[in-house]
Amino acid sequence: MAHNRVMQWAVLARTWWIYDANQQCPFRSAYRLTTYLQGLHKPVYHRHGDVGDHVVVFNTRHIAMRGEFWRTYKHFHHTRFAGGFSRASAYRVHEEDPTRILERACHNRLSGLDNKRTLMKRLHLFPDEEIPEEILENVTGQIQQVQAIPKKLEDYSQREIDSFPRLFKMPEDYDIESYKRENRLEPDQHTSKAWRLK
Amino acid sequence: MAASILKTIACATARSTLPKTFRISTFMHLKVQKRGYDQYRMRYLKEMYQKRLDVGPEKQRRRSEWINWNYDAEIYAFGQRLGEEFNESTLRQAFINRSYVEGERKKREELGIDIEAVPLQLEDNTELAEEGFALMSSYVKVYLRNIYPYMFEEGISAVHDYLTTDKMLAHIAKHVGCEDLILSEEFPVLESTLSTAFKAVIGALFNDKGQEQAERFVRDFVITQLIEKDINELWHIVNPMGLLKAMLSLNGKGEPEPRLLWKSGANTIMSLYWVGIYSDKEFIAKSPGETVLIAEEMAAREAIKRIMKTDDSRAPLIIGRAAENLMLDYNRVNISAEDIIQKFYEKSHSEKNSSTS
Repeated sequence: MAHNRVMQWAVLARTWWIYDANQQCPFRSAYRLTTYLQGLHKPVYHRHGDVGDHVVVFNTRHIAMRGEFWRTYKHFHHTRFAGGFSRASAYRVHEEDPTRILERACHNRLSGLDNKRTLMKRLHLFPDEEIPEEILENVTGQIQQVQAIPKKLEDYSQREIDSFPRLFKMPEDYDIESYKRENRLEPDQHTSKAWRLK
Repeated sequence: MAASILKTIACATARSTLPKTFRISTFMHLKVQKRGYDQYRMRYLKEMYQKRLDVGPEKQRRRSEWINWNYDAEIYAFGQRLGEEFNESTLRQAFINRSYVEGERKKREELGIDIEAVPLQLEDNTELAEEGFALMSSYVKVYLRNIYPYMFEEGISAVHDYLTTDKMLAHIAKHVGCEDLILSEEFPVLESTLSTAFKAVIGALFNDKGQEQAERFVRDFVITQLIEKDINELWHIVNPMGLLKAMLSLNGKGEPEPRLLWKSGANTIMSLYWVGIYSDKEFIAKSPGETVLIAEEMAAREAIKRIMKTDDSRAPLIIGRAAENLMLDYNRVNISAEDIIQKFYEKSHSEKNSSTS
């Protein structure tokens, strides 16, 4: 008896998913994560039905942005007082709170939904690999990453770097170290004065 | 222009052809004024509302207390509605409850009429109901045994009991239209009276048209109540794992072994566990549950459903025109779960004794 009851329970129970944000684009990740948060991947999905899942994201400190986005992508805020407008570059926001960029990306993805705040409460973000044990015990499934993790220059051995074919030789007086210089004098033109690095 | 003229003509003709028996007094207060405010209407309605509250609700009356009631026509229409040709006198008898006959007798006594001199030519439906119930009961069981040949006898009985309760039969009788036709002392009509009358209708059909027609009637009106009903939920198995163990052992298979297949949200209030049952490393059934124990029990139930071949993918009931040519084995008896458990215990006891000696 009551077998149908547990079948219904299985349909409506929330699954916990895990997602590794290491070297992942936050915007494309948000597109994938909000699918799970809303329950769009389920056949029983309906806008007015509350069938979304939980998503646990770790390594948000190590997300990757393409192009010049760390510098040019902006977060805006207005306190609603006169002169209360401020904006900050993505890298600045990321320094303040390493989960903020991904959280805002998901939040913006869900814009226009009445249950946005409820859905956002089911998104658990952790900056590094440390996740509380009681949350990790709930996790059952893994969400596939949106992009392959690129191999960094540090990951190649010196022998591999040396054996890489050289197309031309640099002139001897060519300055290859100057890009590493800290240019403190040049201000960050893309961030409000209040938020600039001191 | 022409259209508007036509419209006015139509209105004028409609007004002139109003019936002469039109009761203005009951109609006028519903008319909405267009060019004024009917200041007395609200007071009038309030007054009527208060009067209704003071008087109380309308008394429940038998349909036969109204003037436009023709019992002969209704009796005839009952058979015609159901597409059955009853013998009229039998059908009349089927609707006479015992209480009605006794009431009539008492009335005559009060009036001082000698019953022996002027016999009361009324027979109640008790005998017909007994015949009808016997036929219905046996046919329901025969039908279920043939449709679900692997279902345990206890399950068949449970479904049979569900179909032949007074509540269910009263429900059918009410919706077939027996309620107004029943002659009984009490009003409103009791569930037991309704159910007796319905059984008696089956009995009447059995007497008039024979067994086959009566069985068709039972199939059309009683067995159809199983549509959209999960028959597995009608039989409550107390210890499903024990029954499964006995079944597997008698079929020469290993003991059922529950395994945790999947779990999610273990620390939350909406935790979910899927437990599968294996025997000899072969998958039998799986089921979800809020805890491991519930999931295990449900998986055992699912396994029993599969053994009985009444799982969710079973074929629909054969009813209606498709059931006309059904070849039913009337002597069929299904396996009993009690027998299986008894055999299992005898077998295990004898094994124990042989191992010790």
